[in-house]
Amino acid sequence: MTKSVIVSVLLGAVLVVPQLAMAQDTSSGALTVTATVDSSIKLTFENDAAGVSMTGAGTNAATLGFGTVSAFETISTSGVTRSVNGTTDFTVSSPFGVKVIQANSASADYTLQAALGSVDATNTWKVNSTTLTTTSQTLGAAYSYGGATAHTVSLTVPQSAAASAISRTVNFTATSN
Amino acid sequence: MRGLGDHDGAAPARGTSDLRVPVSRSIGRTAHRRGPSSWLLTIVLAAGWSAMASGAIDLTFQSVGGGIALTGAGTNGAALSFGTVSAFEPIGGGVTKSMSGSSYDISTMFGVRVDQTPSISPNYTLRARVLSAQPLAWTINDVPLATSLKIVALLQNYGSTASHNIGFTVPFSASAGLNQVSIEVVAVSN
Repeated sequence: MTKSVIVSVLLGAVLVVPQLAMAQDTSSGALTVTATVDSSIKLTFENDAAGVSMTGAGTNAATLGFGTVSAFETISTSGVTRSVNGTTDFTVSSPFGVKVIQANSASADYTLQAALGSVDATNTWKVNSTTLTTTSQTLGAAYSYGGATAHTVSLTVPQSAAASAISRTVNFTATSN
Repeated sequence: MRGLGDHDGAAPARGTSDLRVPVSRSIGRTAHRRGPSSWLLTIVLAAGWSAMASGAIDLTFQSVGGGIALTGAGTNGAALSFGTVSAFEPIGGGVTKSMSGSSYDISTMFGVRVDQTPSISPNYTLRARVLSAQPLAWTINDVPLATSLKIVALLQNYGSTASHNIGFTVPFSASAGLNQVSIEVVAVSN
């Protein structure tokens, strides 16, 4: 009688052990996160289908090469237009695009300005009808965001100027209105 | 008249007497002795095993390398400031920006450390939620946060700082301005 009672109680204890519940513990914390979203715009140069194909199109640093130009010889670079002013000078030009996009802004449009990176005492540089100097010149005050706006860059070379390589940087600035 | 010795089973006639001797008969039975019961100690052991296992865990936020330094690091109430962010301007140190067609994602790393006393649970699960609905979409470890708790990390080890990614998405159409969100982070022992 005594031996049978001991065996049954021990079995009960062994069966109970695996069924013991592990209490879940929790611990929490509060992380306060802040960020100030600022408006911004981005300008890129875009190829114009009728103009010279630019190196770096789609970025804010592009190169437009007229190639070899002259008053009377054939111009081989596609997209270059030439006009000759009697015996005074000749002008070569090409369309190109400027695209400005905005983010987190309520601005309706933007103002575009341009300036020569350095003085050119011999030749005349223009964007559209605006003659460029080293001081920013306003090209327009109500350009729309999103799509590329076509502009024309032109270079007027006096026929009295010596043949030479010509290169200038034109800096463009878009300002949200 | 009968003499002695004459006996035919019938009652003796008056005048004579019989002597009867009782006889004891043995058939082999053994006597048993019962001892005291021994179950008391076992019951005590069973009572001892019925106790519930329990411990305590403690969550703290930590700054981690490559992420924004937290204010209040080492406590369970910390602040993380992304500063000023925008789509096209440079961003500060410890912040990552990635662009898509009409939005951009901003993110950084932060740490969570959970300590356990005594050592009972093998690891823990980390959950998080925003305490109120937000205009921007927030994530931890790429898990979108909502006002209900979401699992953001599984099988996390106690006693060491684990790095987690926190970020948000800004559509180009979103208004400029300050965004502030309170995020509850909860560690649950496994």
